[in-house]
Amino acid sequence: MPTVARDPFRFWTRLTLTKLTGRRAADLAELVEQLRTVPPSVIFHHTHHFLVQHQHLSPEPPNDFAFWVTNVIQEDQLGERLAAIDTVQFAHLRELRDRIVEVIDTYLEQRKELRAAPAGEEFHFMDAVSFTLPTRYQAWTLAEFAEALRHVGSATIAYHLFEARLRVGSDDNDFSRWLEQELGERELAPAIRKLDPYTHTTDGLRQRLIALIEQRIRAETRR
Amino acid sequence: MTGGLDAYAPFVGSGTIEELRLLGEHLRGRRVQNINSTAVGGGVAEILNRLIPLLREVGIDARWDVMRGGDEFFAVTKAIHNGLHGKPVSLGEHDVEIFRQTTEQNLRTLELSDDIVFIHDPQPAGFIQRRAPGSRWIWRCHIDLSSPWPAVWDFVREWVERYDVAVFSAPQFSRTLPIDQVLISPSIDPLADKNRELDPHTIESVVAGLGIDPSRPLVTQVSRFDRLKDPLGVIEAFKLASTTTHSSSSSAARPPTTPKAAKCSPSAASAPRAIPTSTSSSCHRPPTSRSTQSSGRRR
Repeated sequence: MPTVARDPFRFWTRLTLTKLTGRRAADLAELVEQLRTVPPSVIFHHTHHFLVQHQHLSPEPPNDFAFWVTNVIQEDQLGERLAAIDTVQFAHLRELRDRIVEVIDTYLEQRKELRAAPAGEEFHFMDAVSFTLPTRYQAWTLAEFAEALRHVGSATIAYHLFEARLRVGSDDNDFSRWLEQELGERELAPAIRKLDPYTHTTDGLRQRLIALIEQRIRAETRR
Repeated sequence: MTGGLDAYAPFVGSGTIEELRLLGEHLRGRRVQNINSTAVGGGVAEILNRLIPLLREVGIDARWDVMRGGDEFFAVTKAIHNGLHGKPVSLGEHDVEIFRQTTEQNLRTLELSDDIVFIHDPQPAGFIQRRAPGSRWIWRCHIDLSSPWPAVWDFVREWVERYDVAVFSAPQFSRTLPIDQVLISPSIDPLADKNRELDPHTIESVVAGLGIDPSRPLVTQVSRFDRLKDPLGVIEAFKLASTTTHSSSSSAARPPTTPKAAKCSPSAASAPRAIPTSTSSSCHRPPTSRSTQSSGRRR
């Protein structure tokens, strides 16, 4: 008999409206200056929208700041440092902002001359207004959980897997927490925690999640 | 073009389609009116032609009205359009009067009582003066406003600032405004006729009909013949490709498969070849919000 949860996992989705802030930066000094004062939701937009947008291609670099610095300002070294920031591990956006600012400040201390972006290629700061909605999917067992994952949208996976930390300020994702607390999955939950958003597309993550769960179901059936 | 929302599932995934239906449930019954200046031809008409049935499919009471105007009015709005794109244009008192008169005439007959009113581009921008209490008005700008002619922008801005929200296709296209601005990326419809794959027989018959040698590289653009589509830039690109490429080494010597996704293929030709303007052929730039069209009336 499969383990049945006391409380089901309810899948939610997050839709986003992108707002234009009117703020822009033409060089690194302006970029870091704006970064210090933009609302946290702006930081969220530029570091997280790729998780949903790139359904078929693995993004490189994985945040807008790294992309602009590398491809427009052409400061490759700084671009790599920004790309290396593990954005989804931060539980608070202010901490993520501080880290990005720190990386740019450190780089600027050693750099005397600043390259300016060509006209029309300035960095435009955008804000994210999020709307969360419950989907019709819920799961009481591992099998139902895997089945729901086949159908939910990319935003649902990103919402529960990578945005949970920011939402509740915890150090865990929604999937691992539920699997551990409700189904007692002490091996599957950590395996999901280790999933890397930077080397998978959203569809790749979906397939990986389903594979891990099915592997666990098969192992349980054999016992 | 056939198929409802589910026809897009192969492009975006069934999860996204389901999310749209979910969102539709929350907006079920809301009346949403779209108003623009032309029923046929042009990117806006093309978007609305497809968008309205899709909105209705998810439960939104969407409709589309087209404003009316005479030749004089559309000459003025064409000048405004060019001015917003940065061309030096002077709007005289007579022009402003024509704009105001036509706006008034439309407001006498148009019913504007929907919950949400989307006004597309500057032609019907003045309709905001008749907003019903409690309704939300959104100005969707399909034009690049990055460097407008100041006098023209001042005229349009007067109306725009009275809306609740302005929508732009790219952050670079927006202006500093006292109202909220949001981004809706250019709506490229993968199921539209001009974006779908063409079968080899159709390609061969079109190319043969124009007397083009299909064994040579082709440069193609599908758009109206307009300064904004930069036909001269296309010819320059053609010349550039001609000087750096040899047909014998080209692997791209085949006709493009889709008109919208027309490729700028290398060419062995030493000089640009005259192409009938009715086909508006030239080298295609990367897609922007200034969507292209192959035919039809546009103002």
